[in-house]
Amino acid sequence: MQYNLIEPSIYMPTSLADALGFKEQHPDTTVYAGGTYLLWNQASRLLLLPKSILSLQNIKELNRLGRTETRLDVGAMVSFQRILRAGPKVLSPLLVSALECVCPPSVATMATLGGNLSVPDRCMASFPVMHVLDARCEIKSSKRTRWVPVTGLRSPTGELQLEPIELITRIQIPMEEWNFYIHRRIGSFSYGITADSLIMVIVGKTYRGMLTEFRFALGNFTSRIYRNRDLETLLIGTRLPIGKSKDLKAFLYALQEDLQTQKFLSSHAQLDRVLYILQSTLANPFQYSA
Amino acid sequence: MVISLHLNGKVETLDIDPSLRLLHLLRYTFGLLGTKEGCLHGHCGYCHVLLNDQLVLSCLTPAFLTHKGKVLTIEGFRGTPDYYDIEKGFLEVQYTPCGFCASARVLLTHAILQETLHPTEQVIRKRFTAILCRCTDPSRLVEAVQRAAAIRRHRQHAV
Repeated sequence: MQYNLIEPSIYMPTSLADALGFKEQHPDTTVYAGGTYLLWNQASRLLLLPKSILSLQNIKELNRLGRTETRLDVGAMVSFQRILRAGPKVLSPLLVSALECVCPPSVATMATLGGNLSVPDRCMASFPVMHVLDARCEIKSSKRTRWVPVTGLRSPTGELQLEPIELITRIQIPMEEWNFYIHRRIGSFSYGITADSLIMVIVGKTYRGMLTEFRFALGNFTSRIYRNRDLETLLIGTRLPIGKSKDLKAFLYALQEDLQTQKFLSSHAQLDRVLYILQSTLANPFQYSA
Repeated sequence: MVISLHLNGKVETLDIDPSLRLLHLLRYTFGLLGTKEGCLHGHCGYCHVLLNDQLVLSCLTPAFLTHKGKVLTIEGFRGTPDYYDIEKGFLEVQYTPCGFCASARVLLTHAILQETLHPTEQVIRKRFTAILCRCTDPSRLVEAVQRAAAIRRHRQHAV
């Protein structure tokens, strides 16, 4: 991002069509959603702002929150606090736990889900849980609309797959029932974003004591996300609780190898922690039942 | 940049530097010192104000975002019936936050009561983690907010 000391040009449209039109004419403009990422870590008296800003604050279309039986529709400008206000009857416990972990409650009134998914240089916060839940994003430009799964929002190397003229406008989160889930934020500070921060999400479905679906993702300070579907399938079909079964040992060994090959984790301590949480979860997943 | 905003019920039009924080606009341009300056990182929660009826951190809100918006600070909130409910609730249980966090606590209580008039202890404790100040007993805080909610319920039914 480029900053300068010249007064920034600010555009505050009231309709989505105006915003998309402006974005097409000025693809380099910085989109301002909740502003928490842009203003993060600025302690100076005057804010250091990008030279051109497109504020989405006044666009009502992006502030809608709706729910059907199968999914939650979240406008890109809906704040985390507003989503959480929907309550446990609407939100799954996993989603509540994940959204509460994103930022401190004071910041949650401003930070938005769309903004959080568009952060270019890190994959912390809501990204891993949206990845695991198979959420989809509606991406619009002035010419077309497309739906992209969150899994396809970033390239394998971590770049955001958004054209400069496009905006994330809506997020659809499937409301599936999971038999067990775990969401952990590991690191030195509870809401800190440091090199040792890590977010871990595990969800699973069981049928008659057998693991029928299992998903697992890690997000860290970098822009990459770790998810290996081949490894996830290794455990499917095993009888629960897995305990000390060969399947679990094979899974943990393969995971350790893969994480080390990809150099995803920053330290051995992180690796040990991830493996310990996975092992203890899968040993008796029903203690984390939804 | 010229902005126009409703500040505590009055329309104000002024030329500002877009890099200015809302916190500094309120404190140094309008002299509204009830909004306190803390960490400027959004952690301490002392600088809460209501922008378009939403609780925001004025330190993390650029002043330009208030253009055509409604800003309510503790100075504007004081004197409204909603404020008296909270004040009475706090006084009845002898809950006295310090001068540094009191304005933020009152506005946060108002925000909670706008969402629900039956706040649970869990909700109150969770929402008040937004303010770092540890000047008072948290159990007294829960009691005070629930008392304020009861007073507001009573007033609304009476009306």
